[in-house]
Amino acid sequence: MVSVGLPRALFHHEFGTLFETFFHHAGAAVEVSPHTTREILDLGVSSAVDETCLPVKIYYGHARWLSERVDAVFVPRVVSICPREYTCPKFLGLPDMIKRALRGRAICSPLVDVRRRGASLYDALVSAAFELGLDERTARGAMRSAVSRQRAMVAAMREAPKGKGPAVAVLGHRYLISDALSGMDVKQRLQALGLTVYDYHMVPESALFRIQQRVHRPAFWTYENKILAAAIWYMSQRKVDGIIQWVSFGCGPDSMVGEVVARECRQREVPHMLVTVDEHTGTAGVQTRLEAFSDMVFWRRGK
Amino acid sequence: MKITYPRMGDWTAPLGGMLEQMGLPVVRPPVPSDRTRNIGARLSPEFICYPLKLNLGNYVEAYELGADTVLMGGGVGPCRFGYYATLQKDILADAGYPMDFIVLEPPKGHTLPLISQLRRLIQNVSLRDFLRAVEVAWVKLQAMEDIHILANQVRALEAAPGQTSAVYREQIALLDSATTVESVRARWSRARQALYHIRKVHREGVPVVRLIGEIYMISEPFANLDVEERLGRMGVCVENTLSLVDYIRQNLIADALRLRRDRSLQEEARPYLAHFVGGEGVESVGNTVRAARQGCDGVVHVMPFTCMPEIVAQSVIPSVSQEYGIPVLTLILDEHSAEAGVQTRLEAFVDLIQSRKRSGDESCQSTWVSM
Repeated sequence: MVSVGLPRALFHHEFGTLFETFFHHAGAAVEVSPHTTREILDLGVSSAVDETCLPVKIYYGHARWLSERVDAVFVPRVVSICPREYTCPKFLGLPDMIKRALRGRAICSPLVDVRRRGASLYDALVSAAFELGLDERTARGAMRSAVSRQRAMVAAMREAPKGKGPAVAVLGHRYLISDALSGMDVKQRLQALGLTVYDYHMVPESALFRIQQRVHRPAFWTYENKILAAAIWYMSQRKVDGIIQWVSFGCGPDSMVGEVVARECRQREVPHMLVTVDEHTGTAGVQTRLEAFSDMVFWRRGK
Repeated sequence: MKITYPRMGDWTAPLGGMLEQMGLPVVRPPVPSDRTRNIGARLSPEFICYPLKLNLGNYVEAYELGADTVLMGGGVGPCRFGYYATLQKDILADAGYPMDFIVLEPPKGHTLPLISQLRRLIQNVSLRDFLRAVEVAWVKLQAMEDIHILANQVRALEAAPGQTSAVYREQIALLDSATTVESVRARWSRARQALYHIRKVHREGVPVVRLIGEIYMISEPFANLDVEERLGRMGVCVENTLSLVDYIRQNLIADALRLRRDRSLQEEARPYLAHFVGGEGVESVGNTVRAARQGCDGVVHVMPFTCMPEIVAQSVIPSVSQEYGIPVLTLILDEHSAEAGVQTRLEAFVDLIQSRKRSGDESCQSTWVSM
């Protein structure tokens, strides 16, 4: 049985359930890399160029970790998941970057580009199955259960948090915040401080879309568009008492859209904090900043 | 309306000349200085790429000289350049420099929006004046590129250090002030003559280094800390891969006429980078392969700090370097970069190239240096 490795990084945090269920039902032995550890990060840091951002370094680490253990590592080329938009230039070149780091070990990298015909996520998975030598009809059948599992996962993600304390929105890439290392359990930390925590998945899609139409000129990066629209929605609905932006050092799109979010917050007088993380960030410094921010939010509430 | 535009070394001078010739009020962007850089860095987000910071500094300086409108290009991603205008407009307004932006988007088969933006710009210019100004600017750009290439070759051999650059400056200024096609052509040939007549020393085996990377960084000497001139003074012939003439042919003319573009660079890059990544990422990889095939002695790759497309290129270029045995030096620059550091790296790089040339051992391990 052919074994396929799924790196638990980047898109996995969003489409992991889909990928796992699909390959499993399509008849492959699926191996998902463990949650990011220091060891995996070190593998990544040593194989990527210094300039790459933390999430991509983490991806390198997971891919290297898997490459020793499976027949092929699944590294899709995710160009675009929304019409007229892109993900990030680094994801466009990711298979080429990983291919170099794995030195000849097999990767399977179908194209996901909804701007073109025949390159949807569905097409990509089916062509990956074909490439791995799996039966095409079984693969097409596997898609159904994969999609329903994914739907359930997304529905769970959308559930609004319960809680009475002041609310903050933690906005940032899912792959950064959900990662065991780069996310630093920020949500749990904030909840422990008595805050209710929102993220951009909890904004209804229709509201995001409506806001994106209104923004003077939407950016062409899918995730940043969502982050910006979510920030505006949370503030205009008066749902939150503060916004925390969680970005990785040197993130290109965030450097621009983060600035726009900060401006919006300033105009509406909503507290805003930007936390920048990289492979050197320690948790103590972050904890102090979160506590200070939470103190301020409580203080403003009580005033 | 007083127009300014982003400066890209000498390459945008024909644009300024063209607008002036159409009778439009123009404030030419000042040559970037420490002040430009400081203003830009102060107003910009921390991790934005260096070109945005320098442009912003230039706009503020132009505003102080009376400009109120910025004419610039646009894009549709995924490189950050496509979002420049939106963000810069907001930043300038907040900082007390309200400016209007006229953004010319690449046609991509839709010529109408481009024409409507152009019409906004040239509503009071007669078609005849417009076409003549465009023609003069086009020839001027070709002349300037040609002179630039020649100056880089001559500089490597000059007897008196600095003479080439002085002559080059003088000739570019003369070309810039020409207003008819005939005078541009006359000055063009005189500029070539002037460069030919510079006293040269005879040197065997002048190393040839190709300059690749992000388009703004390789065009603006202030941004790349005069990398061309520095290498030239070390006796290296620099070939800059930037050609605005080609760029315009490919991206504006071929696109608007829906002709097939030249894909040869993409084809060269394909084994290493098989998909476009925005900006000049693929071109950088393709140019490295091409430089190796054409027998260059080395490649200097210049990029702004945090540039996404160039990071992808930087990640795969070591494979090209190893397979073809061509040394590559990557320079990552921003407002914190200092001359001394760049000078030392370039000297070390040139030493490496020269020792490889002397030993004639092409098989020796290539070196990819990132600093």
